[in-house]
Amino acid sequence: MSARTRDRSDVVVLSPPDVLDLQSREAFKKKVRESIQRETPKVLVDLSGVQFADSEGLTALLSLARMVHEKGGEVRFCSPSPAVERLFRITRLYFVFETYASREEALESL
Amino acid sequence: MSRSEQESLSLRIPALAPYLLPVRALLEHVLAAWFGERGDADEAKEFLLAVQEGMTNVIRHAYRDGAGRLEIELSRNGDAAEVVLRDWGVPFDPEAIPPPDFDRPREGGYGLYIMRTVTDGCVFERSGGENLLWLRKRILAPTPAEARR
Repeated sequence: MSARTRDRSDVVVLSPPDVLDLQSREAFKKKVRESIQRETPKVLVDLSGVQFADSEGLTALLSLARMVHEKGGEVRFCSPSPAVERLFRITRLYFVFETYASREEALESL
Repeated sequence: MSRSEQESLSLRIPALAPYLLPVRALLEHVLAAWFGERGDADEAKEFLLAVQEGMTNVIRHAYRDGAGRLEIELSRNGDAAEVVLRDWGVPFDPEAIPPPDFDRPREGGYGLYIMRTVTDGCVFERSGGENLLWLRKRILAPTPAEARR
């Protein structure tokens, strides 16, 4: 891990729930809103723990990105699980989410 | 008893979000066994995702004013897995849903696209106050090498 990623208290790290669907979507969006209250937030979303995600989960991630951008911030996504990889592939929305293979790589870019 | 009768299950649940997880767990187990015969778990997970989208569609749109009934039938017919979802809520018109705009992604509207993309058949019908969604995905025959294992 480089010096740039060792101490990144300026970055908000979010880990979505293991199931990202209609049932969990609102709680996750609430958590996002509470986590990015300051202006120009830097946000890293670690997707490694998502075991299942559907279009509701996808919408939650799109909402997250919009909320961060509306505050003039930056958001990166990292370590997509197979479930997230599948969803991104099927919906062809990979290009919307700036995604990195590892948390370290994503932090380097912020 | 025919093979399709042996390899089928029916569920009747309240169309509410908390029921998605247990139903999905059951379907995942069955679909993994069917599709797993070819060792292609991703096909099973794609079909499960399509069924999830169908169930979510009923919960969100058919019964938007409260809970209603959702019936789920899963069966294996020949070389395909089939799911029929039935509800008695507001009719759903798939033609009224615009396709995703990949140049300007919007928040929502991907469920129908997913269902159509990952299945070999996706049909909506309305008859006598009943909404029906039929989903089908082919189970590929094992290759000779796989069959010998």
